[in-house]
Amino acid sequence: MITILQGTADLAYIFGFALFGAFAAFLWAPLLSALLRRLNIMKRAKTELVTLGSHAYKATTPVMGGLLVVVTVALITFFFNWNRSFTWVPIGVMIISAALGAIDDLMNIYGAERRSRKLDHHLRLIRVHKELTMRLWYVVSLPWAAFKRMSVWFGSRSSRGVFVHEKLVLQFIAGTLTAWWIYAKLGPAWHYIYFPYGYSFNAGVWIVPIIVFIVMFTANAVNIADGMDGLAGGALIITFSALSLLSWINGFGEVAILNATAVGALTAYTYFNIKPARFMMGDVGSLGLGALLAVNAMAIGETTALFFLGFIFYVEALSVVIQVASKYLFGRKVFRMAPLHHHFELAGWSEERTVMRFWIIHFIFVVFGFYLALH
Amino acid sequence: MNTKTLSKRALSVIDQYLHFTFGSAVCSVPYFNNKTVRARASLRAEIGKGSPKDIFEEVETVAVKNHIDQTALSDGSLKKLLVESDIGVDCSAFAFYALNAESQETGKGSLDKHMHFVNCRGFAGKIMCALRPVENCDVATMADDKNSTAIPLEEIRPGDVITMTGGPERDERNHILVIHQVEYQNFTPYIAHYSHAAAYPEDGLYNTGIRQGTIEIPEAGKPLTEAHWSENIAAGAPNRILERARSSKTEVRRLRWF
Repeated sequence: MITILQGTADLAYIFGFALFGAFAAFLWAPLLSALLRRLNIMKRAKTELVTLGSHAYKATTPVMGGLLVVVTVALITFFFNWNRSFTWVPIGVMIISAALGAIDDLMNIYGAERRSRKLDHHLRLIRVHKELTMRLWYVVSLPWAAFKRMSVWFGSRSSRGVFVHEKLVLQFIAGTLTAWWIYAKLGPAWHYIYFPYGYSFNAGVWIVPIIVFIVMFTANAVNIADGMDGLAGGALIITFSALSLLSWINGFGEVAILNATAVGALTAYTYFNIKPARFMMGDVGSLGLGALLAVNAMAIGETTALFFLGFIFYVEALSVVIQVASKYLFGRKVFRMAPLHHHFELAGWSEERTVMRFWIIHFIFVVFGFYLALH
Repeated sequence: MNTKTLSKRALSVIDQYLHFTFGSAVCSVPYFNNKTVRARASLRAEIGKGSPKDIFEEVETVAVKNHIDQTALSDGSLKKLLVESDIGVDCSAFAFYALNAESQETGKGSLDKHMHFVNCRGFAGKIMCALRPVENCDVATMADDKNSTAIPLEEIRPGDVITMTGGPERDERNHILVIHQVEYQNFTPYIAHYSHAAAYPEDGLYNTGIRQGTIEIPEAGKPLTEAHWSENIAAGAPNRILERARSSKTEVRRLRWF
């Protein structure tokens, strides 16, 4: 277990930042809500039918409410907790991921319909385009075109937002930045993956792809879980609270303060996100906070505990992976609908019941992750 | 005169397609052939290969997704919902599930255990067929000599199929009918009742689906296409299935393990 430690902070001081984060976020939340409404940053209903029934109000609920947390955390950290060793990379990664999410949110609202050319079409253009330069361009861009079509394999259809392949590239950059920081800057102790009861494994340079994968997967997992009012916000409060305490126990004062600030800001966000939501998190919040969660957990050497600390997010993401795999391989669904929260919604659970039960299950597993991390 | 039918389980499968029930609405599952949209790696129910259960679950999902009140659905709106959601069944999938139920009921195990998937070549193809048997069991597969044998019309019995392969058009789709009941007179087949999934040009978008009809078996030695075929079609409308039978290679076949 990594136990360095510089800059340890008093627990009361950490709690103070949680309160400060909540206070600051509560203060400007009405402003953000009004601004999002004024700019008409609302989700477009995909069909006329979804504007009917119990979900009708969601068509007029602003998105990008995650800005409340991302901006609050970034500003408080910048002004009161800026530490070159332990806070600027997590904040940088959070901002890169949040920026990607913001682009996606805005393109979904203001962007034009984007189409992805089929690979057969691309290959045909290589053969038949009248201009040689264009034919050469199509040859050169063939690998990218093939990569681009991956988005269709993931079930993504033409839309207004950022394509899956574009998201993956940008998330890869965020993941690589984290990996570089952890591998090159934090020191050899971070080349190890620590298991409970004192076991460890020296991954060496392989820690780099592992970190990249964890950052990308966690960011997307939180994004996937953000499908019901209050679900992602409430679960993130539990997760960041545990992470803050673990950071403090392991002696990472700055990271503990950063996590506590996130808890405070998330509390304000969740207050407004409880059904019926005043605003929704959007990709700007879910991708940014997902990346922050992964970076902070790995920075304090709790990579293995991360699965339990982010339990509900990973379960939701895995439900999508299982559903897509089953659909492709067997032509059958495992769940009535993925992500998992929709499965229960289809089974007749109300949104409130699903969200609260998910919080409770998540809390139990976070406590288990906390318990493991202490051993 | 006595009558033989498929097992109750197989008849129940046919009935679930014919009288598909969702909430209080009932309709026949529409015909859907994936060749019209060419969706790959999709759900079975979305490519015309779904069992009644698959179709029910998918309709349930679509209804909840779109906040449709199940109890308020009429028969017509259910059919419309199915058609507009690209949910339906094609002739080979319909035959597969009906015969699969029969095979299981008679203790011969599921169809895919016996079937030679003639379209699946190579290692990857074999894996594909093992994972998705229904999708790879088309009419040509069922009509292949490895899987079935042609039998004389006089020997027809429930569980046999009538295959129509080839046709006047180059890209004519093959077709298959399932014999679900046979009436005998003096121990010789007299009338064969069939079920199939079909879409006729007169059906428009919303009247396709599972149909049933009868064939009055002609005297021994006469071909099937000279029999009297009747189906519940509008007066004056052409007998499409008979036309199709006449323009294709039409055979009565029996699965080898039946």
